[in-house]
Amino acid sequence: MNIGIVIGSVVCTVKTRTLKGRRLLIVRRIVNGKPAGTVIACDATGEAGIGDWVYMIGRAEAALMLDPADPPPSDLTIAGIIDPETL
Amino acid sequence: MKIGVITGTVVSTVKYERYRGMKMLKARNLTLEGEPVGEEFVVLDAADAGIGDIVLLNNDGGSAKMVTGDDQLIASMTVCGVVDHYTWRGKTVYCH
Amino acid sequence: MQLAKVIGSMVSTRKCERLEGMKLLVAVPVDPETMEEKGTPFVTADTVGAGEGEIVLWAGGSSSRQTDQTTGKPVDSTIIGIVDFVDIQGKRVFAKSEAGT
Repeated sequence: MNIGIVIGSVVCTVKTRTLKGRRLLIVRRIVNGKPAGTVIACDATGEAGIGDWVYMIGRAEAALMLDPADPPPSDLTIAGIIDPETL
Repeated sequence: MKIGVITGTVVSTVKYERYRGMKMLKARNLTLEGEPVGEEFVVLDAADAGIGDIVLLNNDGGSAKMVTGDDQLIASMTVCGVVDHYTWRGKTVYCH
Repeated sequence: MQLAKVIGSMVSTRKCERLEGMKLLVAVPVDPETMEEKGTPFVTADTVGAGEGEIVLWAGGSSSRQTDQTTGKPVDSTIIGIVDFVDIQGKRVFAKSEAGT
């Protein structure tokens, strides 16, 4: 899984059925302590917000984590928020 | 998916057994302006493409399984369509 | 997922059977922070009725086949949303209503 900082959000009114009600966040990836591009991830925690350090799962598991029975088309999903005091 | 041009054929007798009976071609990626870019690579053909054809290239192993109908197949790049025409920024490009 | 701007469309008659009926669009990646185009244009399946000039959200890999319209279809990228707003650090960097598309 990759680590990043939430920096923003994307709002879509028209979107795939299975993405309805799910938050899409813009995350700056951090690799070896340095910024490494900007990605968009679906939030499985429901709680991630701007400034939060999060870890994200990619590939097929990104969709399965959100709902294994009816997987949404997410290729990157925020799996958790890193406790800030441990950073 | 990306567009590409078929640059040649690949004939191979000794091959991964699941590639038996499949047509293999050489291709390069194309810019929308029609310029070949990057290195030549080998693709599996599922759209009956030929040399010089502008094609739709799919770079996904899961799609390769679907295109070929073999759910055990291991492959990366497949040709899944021959392009008739495409439009971008108001210009239409006819491919054959 | 990434953002992209739809810049065109593509038609292919001779294609693998499972792609029949799929709407194909040409899009160019967009940087979500600056909303500027960056990178190489690509061809993508559309499941939400996107049109030229719109900023869209797309997914790649096996996730691109997790929509009602692309299940079992050999696609490697799919447009899954039409973007209305993009906010960075609380500041609105894109609004569809102001983009004049």
